Amino acid sequence: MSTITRRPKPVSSQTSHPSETDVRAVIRKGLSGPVDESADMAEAQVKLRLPAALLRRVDAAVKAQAIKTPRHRWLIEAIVEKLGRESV
Amino acid sequence: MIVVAGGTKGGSGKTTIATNLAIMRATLGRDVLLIDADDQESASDFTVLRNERDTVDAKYTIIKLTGVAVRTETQRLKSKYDDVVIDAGGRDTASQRAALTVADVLLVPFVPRSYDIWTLEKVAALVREIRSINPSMQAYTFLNRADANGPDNDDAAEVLRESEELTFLDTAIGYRKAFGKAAAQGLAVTELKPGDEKAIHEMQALFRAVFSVKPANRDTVTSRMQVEGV
Repeated sequence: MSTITRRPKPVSSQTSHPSETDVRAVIRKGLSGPVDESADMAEAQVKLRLPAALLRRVDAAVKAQAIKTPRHRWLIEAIVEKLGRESV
Repeated sequence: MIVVAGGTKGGSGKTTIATNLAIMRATLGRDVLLIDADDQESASDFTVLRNERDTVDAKYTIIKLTGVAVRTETQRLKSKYDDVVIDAGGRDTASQRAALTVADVLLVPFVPRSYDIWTLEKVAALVREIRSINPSMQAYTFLNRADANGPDNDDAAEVLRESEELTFLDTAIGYRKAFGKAAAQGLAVTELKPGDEKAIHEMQALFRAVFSVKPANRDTVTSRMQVEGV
């Protein structure tokens, strides 16, 4: 058996062992609910005020994602996640 | 094996394919779980109809799931069944994505019409994205509800063959009334009496192609299908 082997290639942690958070981020990009949601999908605007420190934590979390999504999307996903947890 | 009938276009026959594959697999004595992950719940309706019959032998278990639960429940239940078949519906839903994260095989039927074929790029993009999570998932296309004659089958097949993400299976299923008749009775086309030999032959060819797939080895699959003449 040869004692010389090829240097192992670095493996992306995302493709070898994606975290459950990464998996769910991909899943959540899909549509949910019945087909005709046009009325519910109309956007409403809300002004969000939050402490700067909290916003920095959000930005750090957004930056740390293996699969990049905008902060706006991250915040929506966080809201949907909480609503789902509380079965609203 | 976990097989998903999916895609991003409605009306391509995913439920028919999923229910037929589940029944044909169960006919072999396999313990099969059919997961209805389509909002339209056609596979569930089909199964209600099927279970009202006393004369069918092949039984499978069906559950209805949506969203992330399609992933988590499939992971939890897969060891209890020989095979899992998931009807994922015809939109890019969270349910379909959840199914694909745990799938061994994605099977995408295409009707040989432009509006259907035009969705190939979206399906390919979805497959690319899912492979970042589930790199061993194998993805296949085939023609469903194919024409009896005319150039559309060949034209559609040519487009499908060009995909780098999805492998084209040369196992077309024709547009045959037998599938509709069978579905209306809660039967697979292979169980219909009197039977439609062409429909049975085509469905069996697809069945062999799907279940001869060896996970994570596309070259082996292709050569095997060529040997079997599928």
